[in-house]
Amino acid sequence: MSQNYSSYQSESGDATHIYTSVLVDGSGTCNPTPDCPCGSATHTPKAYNKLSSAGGWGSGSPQCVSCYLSYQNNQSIAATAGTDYVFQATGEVVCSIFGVYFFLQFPGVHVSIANTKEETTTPGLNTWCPSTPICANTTNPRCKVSSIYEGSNQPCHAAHWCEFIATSSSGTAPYSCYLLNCPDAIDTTPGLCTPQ
Amino acid sequence: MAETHHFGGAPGTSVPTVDSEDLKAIWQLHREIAIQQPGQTVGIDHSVIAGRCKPGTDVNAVAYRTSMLQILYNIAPGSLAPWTKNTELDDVVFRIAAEIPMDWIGTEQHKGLPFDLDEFVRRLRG
Repeated sequence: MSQNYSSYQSESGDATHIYTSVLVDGSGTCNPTPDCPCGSATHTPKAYNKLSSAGGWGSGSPQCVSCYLSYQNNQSIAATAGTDYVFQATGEVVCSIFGVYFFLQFPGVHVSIANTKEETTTPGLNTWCPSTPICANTTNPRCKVSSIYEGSNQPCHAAHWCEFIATSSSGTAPYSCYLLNCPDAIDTTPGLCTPQ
Repeated sequence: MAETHHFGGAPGTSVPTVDSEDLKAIWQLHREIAIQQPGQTVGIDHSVIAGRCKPGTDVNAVAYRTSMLQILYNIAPGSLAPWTKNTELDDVVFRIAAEIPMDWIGTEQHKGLPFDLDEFVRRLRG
């Protein structure tokens, strides 16, 4: 069995709305064997289109393995100028025998390391330590935290360097941030943070 | 001059493989903190992460691979669904995430995740 599937995403907008679309299409080939009885299998296209809080997974109709399939998931939201909206997209073809058969990583996913120096705002506490960015180069770091977990009953350090992986659909803001960890910083002098 | 900070290895070089039990432990640590501090963006001190791992573990590699698994879980929620029960991931997911070839990224934008997703899913299917 072989696969020849594609998946596409698109984003557009006008004065009042943002429109996003995710398309999955293509077909496979089937040469049945005892280990792969693909003649009786079906393939179902699925597309995930999440625009801000709208949308999610949608599914097309099951087709035979060698049949052409196509499914498009469209979303739109009313938009306000100056506001960022997150668009997440992916596409899959689910095989009735093997489960997820094709998974596309959209080229729109960008990742980068982001560093932010953080200072404890309430010295003398322990365990959960309220924290705020201290950046010499920006007032708007790409990623930040509001508190740092030091471990049960452990005193708050004065400052940390928090490390993140930042993701975005376009390579620019808005970003989603995934914490790596927060090693201690040597002092509370503002540091060079990764800006938006 | 303001202090700068660098994480991990040189961009484009390989991330060491790690023990899947360490990766699973850090995944669960993030889950515990999310439950205790819902809706908050919480950092974790390096010593806490190191304390959950086996002695001598490359903590940066464990943290990096854990975050990549979190990204996959969030941006492609269907991809891990067959190996997810009641929001808990099967051990095979942690084993593959701990071992699959993966590159370090840097502060420059990297297009796509730094590992082969198709290979990840192929290994899951066995």
